Amino acid sequence: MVNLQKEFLDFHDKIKLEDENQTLRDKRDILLKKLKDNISDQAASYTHFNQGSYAMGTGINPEDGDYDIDVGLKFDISKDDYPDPITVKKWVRDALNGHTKSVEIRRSCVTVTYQAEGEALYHVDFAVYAANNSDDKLYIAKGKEFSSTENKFWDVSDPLGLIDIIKNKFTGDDRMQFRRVVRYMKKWSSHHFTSNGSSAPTGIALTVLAYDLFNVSSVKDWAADKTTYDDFAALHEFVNAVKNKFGLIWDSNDGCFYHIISQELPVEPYNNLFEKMTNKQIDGFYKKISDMASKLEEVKGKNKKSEACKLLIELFGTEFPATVDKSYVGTSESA
Amino acid sequence: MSMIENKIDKLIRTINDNRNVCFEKITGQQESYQADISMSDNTEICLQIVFPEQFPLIFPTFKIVNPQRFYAHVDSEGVICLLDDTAILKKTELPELIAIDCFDKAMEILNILPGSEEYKREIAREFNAYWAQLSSECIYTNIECYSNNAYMELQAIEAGKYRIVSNDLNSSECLLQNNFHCKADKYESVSCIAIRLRSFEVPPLKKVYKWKELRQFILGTITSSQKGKFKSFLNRKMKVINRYLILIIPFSEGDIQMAFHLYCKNGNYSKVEKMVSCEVKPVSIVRIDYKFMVERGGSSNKLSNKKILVLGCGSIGGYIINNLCQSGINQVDILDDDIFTFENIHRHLLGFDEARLHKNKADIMKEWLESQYPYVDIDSLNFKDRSAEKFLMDANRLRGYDLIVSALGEPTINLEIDRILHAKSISIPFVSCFNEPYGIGGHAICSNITQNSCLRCLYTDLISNELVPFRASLVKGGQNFKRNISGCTGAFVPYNALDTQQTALISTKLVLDILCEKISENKIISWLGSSEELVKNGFETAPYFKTNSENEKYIVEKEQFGNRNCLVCGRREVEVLFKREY
Repeated sequence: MVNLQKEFLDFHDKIKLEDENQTLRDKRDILLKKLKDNISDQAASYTHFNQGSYAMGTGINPEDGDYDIDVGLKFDISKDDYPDPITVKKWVRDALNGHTKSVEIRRSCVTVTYQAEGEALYHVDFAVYAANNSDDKLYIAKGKEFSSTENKFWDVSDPLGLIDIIKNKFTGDDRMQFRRVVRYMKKWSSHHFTSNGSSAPTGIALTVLAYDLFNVSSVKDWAADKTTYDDFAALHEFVNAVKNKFGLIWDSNDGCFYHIISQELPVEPYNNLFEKMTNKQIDGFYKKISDMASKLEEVKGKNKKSEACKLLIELFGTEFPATVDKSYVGTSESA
Repeated sequence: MSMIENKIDKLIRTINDNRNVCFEKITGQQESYQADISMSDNTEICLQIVFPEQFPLIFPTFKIVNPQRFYAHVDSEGVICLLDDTAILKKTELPELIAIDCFDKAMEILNILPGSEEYKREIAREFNAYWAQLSSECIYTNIECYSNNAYMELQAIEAGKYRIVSNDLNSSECLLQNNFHCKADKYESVSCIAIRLRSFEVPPLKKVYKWKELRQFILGTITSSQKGKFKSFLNRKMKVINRYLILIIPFSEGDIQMAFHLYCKNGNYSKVEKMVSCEVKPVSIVRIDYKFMVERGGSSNKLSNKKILVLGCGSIGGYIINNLCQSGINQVDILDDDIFTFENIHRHLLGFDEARLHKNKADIMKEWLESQYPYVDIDSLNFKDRSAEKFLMDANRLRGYDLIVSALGEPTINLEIDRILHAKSISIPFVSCFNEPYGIGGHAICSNITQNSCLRCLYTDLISNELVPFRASLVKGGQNFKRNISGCTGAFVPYNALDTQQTALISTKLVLDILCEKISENKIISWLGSSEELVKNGFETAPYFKTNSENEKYIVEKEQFGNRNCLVCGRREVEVLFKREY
């Protein structure tokens, strides 16, 4: 067992998406301005808010360089006045169309892909909400432009409530460790699952799993009069907890047993965050998380940092630092 | 001068007026006054007061002219010992009150009735001083281990002006050679009888005694079994008698010793009892026995049987060993493979004289300590290879001690000792101590008292089992403090003699507290000095220093420093690449 805290913190510094990333803010603001300038006179008034990992402080730099910004648009309308939610989504799409590389109405948002000359690729997902409803709840506009009617609807949603509970489960330095562990998990996930398709657990699924299962791991250091955090132990414990949350079911279609997991969103609509994955995909997630758990167990048994780091690089990629061991430490003692 | 005289006359008038006495100036003697005073036992004495020039800084002297009996606190010249000047604060702005208080004190002393309990107590307290005044001879005694009704036939050996009486000749000879630095020349020239009296009884104090008078006093104050032995001595037929007779007088505050020299030379053999012409003279005694000297030094004689191993006899070790011996510990084994050189002297207990000898530190400390403290027994463990590493190859060498101190300043070896003590279940308390650089402080750590923590806990990382520098260090880790002005072998860490003594002090206190069973928990004691020099030299302090010094804590004690990751006391299984079996 070696102390890997410095390595984990260095790793975290490399992977984290800064809460106050100016470039991302600039991109978002440019699009918000375009939206404001070009939105049709027919459209209702709206306000915007940050949502997603950026708002929860759990964002990581994307491996493929495709930055993702989630913005919520709260329109001052009642869902009952707009039975077709696509009407509202179109206000957004039409305002931004032509000004960027592409604008596309997707199931849960309007996605704007944005790439300035010689710069990284960004996409901004605008989630569209009806904010002025008789039950005082927010409803998100679901459905694509040419979806069938049953796939176009307003769905109850509480993005601000979600941000609030995730952000406030922990405070101070404990909260920082929570966020770091979520980021480690996301980094691991992006390193081990292909970015396309639904085989990977979503960022929000990993975040909510951590909300549910993560425990702070720290020790009070009487000599330094401070709390020393142990990210490795926190991560290891969390991964084991996730692994233990899986259960076995018989899949009659595939004719085999699968390990599956479900995790309910802690706010409305309380949906299962793994609902879009097939049993087989979830089982794939189980296999990968089990591998991770055994690798972390192996790391725990190492007495040399270099060997521990080698295993962690396999888990997280080369952004995890490699360290050289030293057989002695300096001392200030003499007699 | 007339001013002083006038003032003194005024003081005398105050005494006369307030105490109804009549002191008058003695003609021809400056500041001396005399009066006849009636005492409570209806006797009358002639009392003189002499005011010194430095009055009121010095009290006036009171003296009885021609005393008719022995008084407690009165010397052979009649001078009254009023008070121990050094133990009081004099209100010098009130000279009249001082004069009256001194007169009252003198009267109080003179009115102590002979035979009263108070008289006995006061006599006993001042006994050695009175006896020394009466004596023209002196002997050194080292009499130990005697029973309440002891009757001992001892030998005094002589060398030059020294006569030493011990329970055994060998120890007298050791004292003469090691501590008086002379060789015994007359082995059995004077034999000696020592008798402990039945109860507190003091013969009348005078310069010359009659043999019969002393004999009868002794026979009246000893038990019947002692009487039998003493009588058989009295019945012995001799031509010459040349003997010391030591009386040990029981006293609540510790036995008192007094001696007489009996001398008689006859033409024919005659019984000792019949030697009418036997000269009997007071002999004063200088006690140099262990118990007396240790208790006089404020220490406990209960530590005499404790045996301590001290590893490292550098600056801290040297002071610790000296402190231990001063505190009454007699058996110390010292391990050190260094030579004591001139560059050591300004932060070591030993100095230039010892450095001149160019000898091993442990050997030189042994010689020095045995010469300073007569009853210590130092083993300088002069193996061929005196290195700590070699020493530790046999774990059994750590056994048989009451406590082990490491003043090596080498954490690797300290941790190895810690490991061996745990692995071999050797339950001997272990104290390790060291300085930190530039006078910022030092530490003494005791472990192996309880098993819930150990030294390694303090060198184990909090979230792994990695070895880290001392966690309660006062300086930030990873800095190099070694200075090198005379080659690699001369590299040293800057700190001074005071820093070392401070660390030695807290360490010795810790050792003594453990031996006296005042400590039941492993603990670290740290002293914090100033960070000024350290910072000036471009180094950084550690949070442990900052927090405590901000809270104005300069001696910090920490218990319960157990670390769950510790590989030694946590007894975790680890991959041992280089397995050591001792």
